[in-house]
Amino acid sequence: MKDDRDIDALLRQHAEQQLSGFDWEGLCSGITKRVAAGVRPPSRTNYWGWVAVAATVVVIVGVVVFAMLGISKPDVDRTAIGEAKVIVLGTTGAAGRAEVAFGATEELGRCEIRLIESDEAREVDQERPSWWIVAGCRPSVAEADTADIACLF
Amino acid sequence: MKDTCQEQDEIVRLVRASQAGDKVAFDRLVRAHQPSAMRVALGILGNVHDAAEVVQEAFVRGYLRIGSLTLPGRFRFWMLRIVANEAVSRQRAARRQATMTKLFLAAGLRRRSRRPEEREDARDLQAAVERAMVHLTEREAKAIALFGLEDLSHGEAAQIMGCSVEAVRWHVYRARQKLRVLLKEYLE
Repeated sequence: MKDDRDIDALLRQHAEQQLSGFDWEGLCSGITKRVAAGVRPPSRTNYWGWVAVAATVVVIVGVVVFAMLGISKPDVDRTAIGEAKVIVLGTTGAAGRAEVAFGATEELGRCEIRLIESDEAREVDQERPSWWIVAGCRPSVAEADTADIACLF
Repeated sequence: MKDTCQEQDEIVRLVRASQAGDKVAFDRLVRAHQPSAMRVALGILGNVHDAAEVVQEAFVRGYLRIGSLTLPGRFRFWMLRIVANEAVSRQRAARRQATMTKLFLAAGLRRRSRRPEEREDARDLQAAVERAMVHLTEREAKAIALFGLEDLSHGEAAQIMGCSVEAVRWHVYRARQKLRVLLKEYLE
């Protein structure tokens, strides 16, 4: 009980020390001015709080994005000679031209590839693609498999 | 007793005038209650500068909400509740900031030994109390500020904190226990 009172007395002593010579008039006039103006000044602490939160969010998002890239991105550069990135394509029905659908159904596999005779890249919309993939014809994309694929780079 | 009743009547009159938009009346309420408000804020935060900012913010909020005060005679408790909540919010923000600082500086920058002037500060009661208050929970800080420092009864503190008298007793007990350890050297 004695200790309890000692703690309370210590806190009161601390408060008295802190408030001795305190500018009560300044505090009151500050409140009066704000009430009269009806304007709330920006809170210093909240500002830094938001900066800290924003920084944390950026760090966490960065880590998550890197982690997801590491998990989901196909490592094309590590494809060995004789392997190809196989893309199952929806075709136009005639050999030579295909609708390229990257990412629609793609897998990393091994297949035989047949080069189509051509001396130069074809123009599409007045631009020359750097590579072409041409698919053989099957009734539907669902039935296509890696044997249908021919590539021209 | 008569003086107390007259004071209370005057408070009620000033609150009603403030509710009608009389800013001069509110200014008088501020002057009458700012010492109590400062003690409570200081009891929770341990720092006079933060306490002054909190009190200013609390009175502005009070003015904006005074229309919702249905019992003008309860102005003091109503105002102290706003002050205590504002102080706790500030304390929470300070804790978040301290946590973030620790995270960002976890590489060891903070492990350097304190400078001599910081060691000097550590002996200072103000710095010690400020550090100690961070170790209290929000309810413990409110309870000790209202009961131990502002000298309200357990019942009055309970009304302000919105909890039971028993809960206030417990929070005061826990706060004293922690402070007794944290401020041991100043009690001897």
